[in-house]
Amino acid sequence: MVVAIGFEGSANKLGVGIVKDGVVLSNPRHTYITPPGQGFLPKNTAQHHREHALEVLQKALDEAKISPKDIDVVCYTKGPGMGAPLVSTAIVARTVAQLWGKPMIAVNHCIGHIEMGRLVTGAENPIVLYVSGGNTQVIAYSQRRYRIFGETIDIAVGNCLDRFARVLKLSNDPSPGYNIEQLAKKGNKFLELPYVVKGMDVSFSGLLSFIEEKAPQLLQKGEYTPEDLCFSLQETVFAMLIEITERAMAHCGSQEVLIVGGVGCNKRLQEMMETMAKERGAKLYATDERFCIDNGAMIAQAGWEMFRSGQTTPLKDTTCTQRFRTDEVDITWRS
Amino acid sequence: MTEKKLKVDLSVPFPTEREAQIACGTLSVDSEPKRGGVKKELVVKGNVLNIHFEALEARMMRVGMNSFFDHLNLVIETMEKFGPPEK
Amino acid sequence: MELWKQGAEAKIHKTDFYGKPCIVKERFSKSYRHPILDKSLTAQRVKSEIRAMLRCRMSGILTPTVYFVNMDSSCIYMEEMLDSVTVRDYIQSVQSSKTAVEAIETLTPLANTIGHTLGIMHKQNIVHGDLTTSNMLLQGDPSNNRLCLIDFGLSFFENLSEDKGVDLYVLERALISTHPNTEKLFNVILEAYCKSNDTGSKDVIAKLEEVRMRGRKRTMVG
Repeated sequence: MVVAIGFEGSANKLGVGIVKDGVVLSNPRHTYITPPGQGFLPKNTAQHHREHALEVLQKALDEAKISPKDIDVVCYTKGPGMGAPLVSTAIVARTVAQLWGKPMIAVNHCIGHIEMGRLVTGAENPIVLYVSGGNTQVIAYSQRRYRIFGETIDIAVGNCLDRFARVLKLSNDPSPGYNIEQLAKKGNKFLELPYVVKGMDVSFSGLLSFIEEKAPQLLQKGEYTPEDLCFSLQETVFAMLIEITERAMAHCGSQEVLIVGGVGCNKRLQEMMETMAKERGAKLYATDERFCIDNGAMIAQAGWEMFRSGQTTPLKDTTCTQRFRTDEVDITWRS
Repeated sequence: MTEKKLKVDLSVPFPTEREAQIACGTLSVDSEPKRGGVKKELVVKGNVLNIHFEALEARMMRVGMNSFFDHLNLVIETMEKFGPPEK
Repeated sequence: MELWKQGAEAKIHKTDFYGKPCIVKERFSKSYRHPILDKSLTAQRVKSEIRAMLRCRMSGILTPTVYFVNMDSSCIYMEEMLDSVTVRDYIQSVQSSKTAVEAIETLTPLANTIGHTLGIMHKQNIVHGDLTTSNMLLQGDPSNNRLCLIDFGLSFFENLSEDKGVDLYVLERALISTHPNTEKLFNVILEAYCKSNDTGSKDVIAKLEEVRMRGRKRTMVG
């Protein structure tokens, strides 16, 4: 029996989760929400994490009904992400690991998403679409690595959606992407937007500049409503994502697809993926906002796998790094 | 030739030597940003954590120390809430 | 017509065209995407594909001959490449039957041919848009390196080094993710590419490097 606690703070969510042999015992989270029109800056985000880390940690222990001595390993997000928030979160992890006399594990954030997705859905060897504010990757496992078959060549899909939400001055509560999704449900007039797919890679920056520039006029003239623009944006960027995922599935001969990451809880994206998967006779695996959005349990789960395969990270190596690619990690726990 | 470096020495007492060591362990891991031009050294003597800072400019020193105090404060709060250390 | 294969966005049927072995590539509509977007993408891709195949043949690159196009049903009737295997299958069979060092040695002439062919293609300002080892065929005995390029649906004409750099980047990623331990082969591809795309390769390689760095340097928040 192995109990792992995970600390996540690579972006604007601070999460602590406890996992015991594949069962999530607790997974509280606190999100730093900025005013409409504003993104989250590293300094303020780090301060948010420092202010809330201890209460979230206490909540995680209380909800799991376990005491620190039952914990076997303390896991934290090494990267990728924003430097200052990562370090603030790691500091709490390092301190409690020493106080409680527990070993540590440094976890790659993206691997956390993948392992959590596999645990929650039971998908065995899926093509993974990982979509969030900072990442857009199509991943498949082979020979002890999660290999990146496709990714964005400029900005992440979540970043594209967030930045458009700022143009419309949408609320960041609970998240800009969620509010775009709600508006898009009411849109129906489709505006053709630049659609850029290169093999299994995508590009969103041209599309974003286009819509950022056109939106004010289109809205002013009354040709399109904000709902129509959210609808068109979602339909276009999601179609690009489904296309590269399908290409990767065809390329790898895979019959399973898993969506992870914050954008992955978008119902329209899931619906489009489901349609594609059905037509191919494949199966879609998706999770809800508890596990799609950054959380502590996913770090605990990846750390649990790593710990069971014999790894630990010495204290002096528990650094953080803003850049840490998914395919750098040796996947010691899968065959 | 005199060195044109700013230096600050800081002593932080902890309830026990073990806690000073834990704080040192936590705070020694992250290296200062290379461009910042700040150097820091942490040493534990008894129950005191001694930190020696060096920087080329006062502005850099302020940035480095501000961030250090944020982190130190977080370590102390964590110890108060989740300590004392297991034997 | 007999359905032979179904890819991500097209069905491939086998038939004959006035006695010649022929395959029909039928782009089907994707029900997950908005009808306006679907129509526009499908039409655009049929056109891109036939234009690029023609241009490639005119510059001496082997691609299937286009016999007939039906824009209404989004079908391209083209020559069936008889007796061919995908480069992907060939690399896999070589890698599974030889040691790592021997495999690289065996595959080096192929990498040379790929680089040479892509150099000619880019010199003509044809950007393939989806270079993978599944989109390259070897006709006849694979060791003869008779390379045929297919699947030009995402292609376009462009003189920009950026687009050509991304084309090579897409290939690099597809090669390395599909066939682990082939980094050396990609270097061979680049060397041969520089020789045949003699005028523009310097800028393209610089762009390739830039695109690679974008991927690695991007801070990945969230």
